[in-house]
Amino acid sequence: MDFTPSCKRRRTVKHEKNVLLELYPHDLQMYKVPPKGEIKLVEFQDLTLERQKVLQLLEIALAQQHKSLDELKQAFRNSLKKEGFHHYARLITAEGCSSHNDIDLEARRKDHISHFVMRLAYCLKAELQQKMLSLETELFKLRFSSLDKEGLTQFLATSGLHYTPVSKEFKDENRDKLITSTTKDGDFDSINFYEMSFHEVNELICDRRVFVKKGIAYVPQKDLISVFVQHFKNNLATELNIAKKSLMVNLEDDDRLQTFLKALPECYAGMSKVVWQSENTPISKLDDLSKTSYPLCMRVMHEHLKSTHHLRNTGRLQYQLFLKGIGVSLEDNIEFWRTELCKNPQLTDDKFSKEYLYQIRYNYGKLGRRVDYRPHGCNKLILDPVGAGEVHGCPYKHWDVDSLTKKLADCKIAPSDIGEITRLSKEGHYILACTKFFESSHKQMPGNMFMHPNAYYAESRKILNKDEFKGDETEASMLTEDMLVPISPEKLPPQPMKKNHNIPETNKSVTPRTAEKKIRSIDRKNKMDPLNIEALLNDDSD
Amino acid sequence: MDESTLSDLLPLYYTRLFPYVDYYRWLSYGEVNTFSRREFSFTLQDDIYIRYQSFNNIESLKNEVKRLCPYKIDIGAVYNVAPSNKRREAKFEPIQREFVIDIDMTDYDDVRTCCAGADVCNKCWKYMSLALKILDAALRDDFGFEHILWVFSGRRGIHCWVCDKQARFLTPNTRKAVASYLQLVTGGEFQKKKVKIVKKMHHSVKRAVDIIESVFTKMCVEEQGMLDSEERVTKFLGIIGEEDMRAEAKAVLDKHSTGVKKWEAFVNFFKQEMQSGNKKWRRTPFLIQEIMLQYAYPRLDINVSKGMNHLLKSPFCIHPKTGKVCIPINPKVVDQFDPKSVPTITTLIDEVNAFDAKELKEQGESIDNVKRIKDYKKTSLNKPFHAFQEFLRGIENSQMGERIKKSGELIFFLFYDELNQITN
Ligand SMILES: [Zn+2]
Repeated sequence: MDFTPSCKRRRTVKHEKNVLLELYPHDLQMYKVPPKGEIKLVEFQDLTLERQKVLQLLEIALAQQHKSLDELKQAFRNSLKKEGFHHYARLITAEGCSSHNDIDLEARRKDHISHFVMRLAYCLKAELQQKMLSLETELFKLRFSSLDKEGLTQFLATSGLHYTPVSKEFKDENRDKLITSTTKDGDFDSINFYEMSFHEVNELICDRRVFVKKGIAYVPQKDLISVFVQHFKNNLATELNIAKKSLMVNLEDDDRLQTFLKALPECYAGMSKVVWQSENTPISKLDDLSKTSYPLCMRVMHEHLKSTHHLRNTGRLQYQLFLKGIGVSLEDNIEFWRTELCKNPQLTDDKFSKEYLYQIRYNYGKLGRRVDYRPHGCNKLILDPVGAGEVHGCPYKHWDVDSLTKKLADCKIAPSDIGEITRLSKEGHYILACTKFFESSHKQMPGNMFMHPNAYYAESRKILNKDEFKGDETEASMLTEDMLVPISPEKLPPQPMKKNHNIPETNKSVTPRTAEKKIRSIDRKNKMDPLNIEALLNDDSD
Repeated sequence: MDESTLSDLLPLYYTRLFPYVDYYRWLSYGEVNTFSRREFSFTLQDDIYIRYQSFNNIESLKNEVKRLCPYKIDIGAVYNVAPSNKRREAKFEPIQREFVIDIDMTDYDDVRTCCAGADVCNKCWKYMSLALKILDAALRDDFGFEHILWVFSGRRGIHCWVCDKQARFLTPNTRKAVASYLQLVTGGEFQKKKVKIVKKMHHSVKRAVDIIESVFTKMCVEEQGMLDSEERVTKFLGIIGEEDMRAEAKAVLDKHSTGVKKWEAFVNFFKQEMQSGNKKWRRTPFLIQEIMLQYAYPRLDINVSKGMNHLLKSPFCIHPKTGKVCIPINPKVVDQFDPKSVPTITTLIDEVNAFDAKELKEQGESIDNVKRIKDYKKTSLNKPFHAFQEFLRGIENSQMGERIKKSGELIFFLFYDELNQITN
């Protein structure tokens, strides 16, 4: 099982190919056997960085929320090619075992090694494990769907998973239910249904896409992908934990590798990551900020809370964590909720302490499991269910067109943009709809793509703060920490920034806004709790 | 129920009526360790809340409950170690947990019109009966669960405990999947159409529709007055996607004066449009079913079902506001269940006293009879306790079956060994 360059010299090219073919007979693998032999550190590093980048491109492609799998695959493939990752581009649409030329084998080998290196790099922290698990699973799903008939058969044969098709009698007896309870149409008589425990097909159960009777799920051939995906995911989850243990034991003596592995995830700038604000945000500014810098999801919750003095459980959780992320201290967060919720005559201060205080303190890791919880990202907001009477979640996903249109008009979004945003959300491009909302209300695109409400906020503050301080270097550097200058979109200068360069300093220092700022920074001193925020930042290492 | 009465009566209830033995039979599932690693949490007077209590045996549970007289007892998961020792362990994680469902009437506030908030009457209680029937059928027929305990939550909701071994050991992902499977009504405040059936109707949805259909007109249209005011009609029309279709539907509804007539007219109109091949209406072929589901399908708090360490109020607690006992509901006769006639702690104590007084009068000075008869048998708890015991017998039978199967294998191996010895 040698594949190291040093070995290459000793072997004939032909022999080398046979060995590779034996190792990698298929375009897709379950990664059950780790690579053996030696590898140069440089190659090791290159492969890892490359796969990391590939997963990042996949994350972007997923965020674009393409209508069909084929569209997604095409877009992802194009971006891989553009970046020069031709091996990976090839694997995305590889059919399984239709071709075994040198490039195919090299692609499979790269895939194999880089996957295992990624395991080592991403196993140390729970959050990174989660990230790898979800993206590798998506990658597997895409590639599985590209297999042709022969590729699928071969893969089934080598995977070690065995299922038996149900009898014709059973099929005839349950014909109607089998047809209506599975999604894909096709010639019923020629489709095989495989029986297995419902535990093995969570995804199909979750979406009600399978006929299930007395605990047995009857899975049509085409949906077997779900079974494999779940198996792949479970296996990887277990392996990541094993990798973690072995890494701690085995890598101790290799400093170079250890340093590289530990540094690796830092290069990974995922869009769905939390952006913590390092400054303290006073709660007196939340009303203004909700209009200028909140994404719509958070703005809706803020306004609902303000007008009804109530927010259902999941909404409270999402909004409290968002506030934590934008730099509201624990004390202020408590104060904010106490003030708002207790405006409801039925809620006494005492009741607040008993029923709501715990959750806030819990979110800050002060109670219970003492985990320092992170604000939820867009994926979670989009996927988490929203029940009757609840206002949390992603407006672009969870609102109907009428409600969304009305809300956008309330936010003073230009009519042409409203059309665009509702169109995007109707087509399932929630993040793009949100980006359009950002563009429309800031009169410019965000500097970075985001998939997190707190990242939206950070992008907004970057722009609004820049507008505010441009042209005054000294004051700007002094006050960069004070990023809480409210500018509602309506009040944005028609031509942001450029003109400000020419405004004389004397003129600036007397503007009421600057005076206001000074007052605020004094005000802040009393409330600020820098240690707390710093602790949060230190704890967060993604 | 006022607080001082409650705190006077609770000691009596916990001493004389709380079914410790059956409770232990249930939560131990035939194994001491299962019971001793179970988390209990108590809410005491003045909302003092203690979590992670656990008990080695029935006696220590009994003593602690009698000592503290909790206003509320919650049941959590079974952990890898006894929760009361958790601080001493590096790893503390849930190992098993019943699959639970929590249904609260307040989640129906956008469709029920008879009451609001904490109130409940016989009309809106029908939502709960319906929820129980639909979910019970899905849990049994689709997932093959058998040991399902339904419990009245004491005021305005119901809880479900699925206790099959398989259910107790579900992974978090599978719990989540089952919970989503059972949840059909989704969408928040800003999503008017909350049930969408695309292309085909899943067999479990079809079954739910069949159950709902037989009571829909009476329950939702007539009693809840689904179409009885301008406002409700507007809400109803909101479910219909397109502006012009809404206008057409409105025209149909406006021709009639009563809700029932309106609904019938709308159903007929829809059928006609479908038959005549109207493309607009044919885009939503399941509209009638979707509407019925939106108005009547069970609404569950999915987060409670998804997690393993979510606490859920224990059966046989006394609801501190109503004083009612959280008694099991027999799913076979759920329609007969009336939340109004659930015994309260006050009536129970009165019943015991009345029985004893009568007995003493009839039997003279001999108090043997008074002592011999279990207190709960003197009260209206007798029937619900019987239902609970029947549920317990079901679990115990299946545990027995499992043990026989296990020991059967053992016998076979012994036999095989002997056989080997002989042949050698
Ligand atoms: Zn009612």
